[in-house]
Amino acid sequence: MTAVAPAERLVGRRYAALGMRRMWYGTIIVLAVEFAFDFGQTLQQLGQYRDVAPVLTGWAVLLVADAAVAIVSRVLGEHLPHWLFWLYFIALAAALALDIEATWGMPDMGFSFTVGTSAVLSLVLAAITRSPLELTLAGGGLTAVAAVAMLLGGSMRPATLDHAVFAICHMFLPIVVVAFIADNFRRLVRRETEELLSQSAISAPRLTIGIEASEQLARLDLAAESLLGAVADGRMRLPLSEELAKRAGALATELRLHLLESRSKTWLGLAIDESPLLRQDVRLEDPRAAAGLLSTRQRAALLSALWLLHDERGVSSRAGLSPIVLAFGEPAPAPEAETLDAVVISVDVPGSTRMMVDPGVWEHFAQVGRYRESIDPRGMRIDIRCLVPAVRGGARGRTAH
Amino acid sequence: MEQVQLKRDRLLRHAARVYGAAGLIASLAVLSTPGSLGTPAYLIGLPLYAVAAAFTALLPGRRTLVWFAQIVAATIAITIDLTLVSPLSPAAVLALAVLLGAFLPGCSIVLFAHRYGALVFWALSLAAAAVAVLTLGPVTVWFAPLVLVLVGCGIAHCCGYVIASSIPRALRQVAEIGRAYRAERQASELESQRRQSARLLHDTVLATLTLLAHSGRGVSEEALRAQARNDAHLLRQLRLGEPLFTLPDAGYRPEPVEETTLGTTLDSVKQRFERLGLDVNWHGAGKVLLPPGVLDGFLFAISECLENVRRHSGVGLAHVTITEDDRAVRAMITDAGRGFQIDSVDAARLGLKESVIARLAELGGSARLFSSPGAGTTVLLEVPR
Repeated sequence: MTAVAPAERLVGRRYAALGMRRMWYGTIIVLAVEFAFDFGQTLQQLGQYRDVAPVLTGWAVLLVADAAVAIVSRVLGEHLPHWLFWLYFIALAAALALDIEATWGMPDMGFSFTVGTSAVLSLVLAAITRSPLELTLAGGGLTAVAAVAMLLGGSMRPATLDHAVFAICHMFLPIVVVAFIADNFRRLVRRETEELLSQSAISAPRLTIGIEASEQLARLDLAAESLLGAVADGRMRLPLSEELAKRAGALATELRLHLLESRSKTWLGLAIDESPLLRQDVRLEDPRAAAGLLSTRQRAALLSALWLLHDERGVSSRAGLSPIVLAFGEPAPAPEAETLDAVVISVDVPGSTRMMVDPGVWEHFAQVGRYRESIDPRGMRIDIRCLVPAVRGGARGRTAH
Repeated sequence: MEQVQLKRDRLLRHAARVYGAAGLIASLAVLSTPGSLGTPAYLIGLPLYAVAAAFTALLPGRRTLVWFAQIVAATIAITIDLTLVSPLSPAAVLALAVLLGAFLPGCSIVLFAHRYGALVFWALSLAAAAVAVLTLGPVTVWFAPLVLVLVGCGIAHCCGYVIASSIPRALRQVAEIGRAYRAERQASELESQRRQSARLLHDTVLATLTLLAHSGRGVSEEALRAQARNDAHLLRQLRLGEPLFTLPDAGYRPEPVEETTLGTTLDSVKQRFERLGLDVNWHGAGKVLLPPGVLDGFLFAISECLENVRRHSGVGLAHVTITEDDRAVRAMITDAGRGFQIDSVDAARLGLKESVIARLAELGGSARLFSSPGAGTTVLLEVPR
């Protein structure tokens, strides 16, 4: 099955900035403090500029650019188009250039930079809408320009080097920190969203097909309806042309495959397929669709345990880690009661030890069934034996001949 | 809510470490300039910075207060070293200001995980400012660093507050989306159940499409057209969510019916095959009680077998005998056509294997096939009651 869209759609652009509004106000306040600080310094050293036009123009450019970006990304719902970001970047670079022009020839440019510092730090306004890498690169680029200017302007002399170094750190490091925090925040929200969305699969019946597949079936039905309708009212003449006949055949095949496939999908397959994060970390082997037999409580616990296991892997290095394999055995009669079957679920967690696992995982597994864990050099394996209602109609043991 | 707290605290810890690390790096970088490079204070300061870096980098885990105490201790040690060991250089003053205005407040972000964290935060910040004022001598020396420290504390406070207060809000919003999504999923589940349970309808649509794919060979044009009209009509009804009156057992049931009779449905199968040129004779029970899901599968298997008879047997008549007992319902589909060598048929063909056998196995039933060349074919279908 190809990528399932709905969950991805939800955690995509529209919800990427979920809960970011406060963070956004926070960056504006921080930036305002920085502006006040720098502008105060500009006023203080106004007499030292050869010409005050560049630095004042720089402030004007910066204020207009910041206001524009703040308003646009607010109106677009915490979204900033590519081209606008780069336009913004150019405006910031212009403000920095004007400051360099203004302070050029001053003995201690690292100390005298004002609008330039504010311009580079303004990049944090884009922190909630751009990737950390982009932000760091942009900030690094502008800081490098300022550093080169200080070097060429003779401000990296031993006597003023401390101010130059401070200016470089002051421009670049806050951007890295803000980019990191915003990225962590985004990740957290995304993970929570995906977990919640995947939990909605728990209430599915034993076999299900999911939102996307349901839409596809509806689409196929509609295609069949229009084809059959065209045949019925004579718009398509019988016998059909080769091309149309081929289309009917393809439609029949697709419909048949769809009706077959849909019957083998369980809530768990759905939950994993619909979550991009789980999909890259968990592989499901469940040829008998035994996962569908679990009760709602067992399902919820199993899914929560999977998410916790996923989190652990996120913390340790994820590179080259093979996925967690979740294999469901065949339901077999349980000695405990006539009406119960036992299903063995084995969970292979490569590269993990008991120590690393969140204690919550064991609590959840205990709710699924009786479990036993074993550790070997490759990782950890947990076998859970869970009791489920016996398959209806004495079907057990009977197979097709 | 506890989960939310944990997640919020984890993010605060991450943020504090990165913020603090950036402050420490900046402070050391400023200190490593000619003004103080090589002085005794610098040489003693290096290991202290290393210790502070180790403290910062170590995962604080859940004992954040212990971690924070270590950070404060390291800060105090570095402050004493810078102010007392050598005469103060401007570089050292700046490095100290960065330490007290970025490193310490940055690490203090963890305090926002606690109830009175902000209070402790400002108590500490003011203490740090007081230290700066008391140790740095005349106003001209300490005024600029003091402003730097206070601005730094203000910014760190803003960061801590924003992170601490926006996570619970964000997670509440996420929960709302989760609820909306669950509702959407349930609606779609109902819709797909409706479509899926219209099995018999899909089976006839499949049969018609297959006929069309073979350009309708072997069927009169009129019959095929009638069949297409019927199917298109049913699909339309399915799409509009109307009950499928003409196929009462196949389609939409507003309330699931426990048991259904076979009678009318057997007739509809019979009529369909008559239109396609195959007579079907029913024998045995005309009324069979089966749960709806099982009934659909059973009828589908019968129609699929009849379709095989129509296509391959070369005769125009098939017999269907239905028998039942307490445990199972059986159908025997017989024709007197040309038959075939069972081994010679590729069982993996989508036709019989996938559709009939797989479908019956899913219901707990089975199918058996008897045939030899020239002796006709018999299929035995069985489903449990």
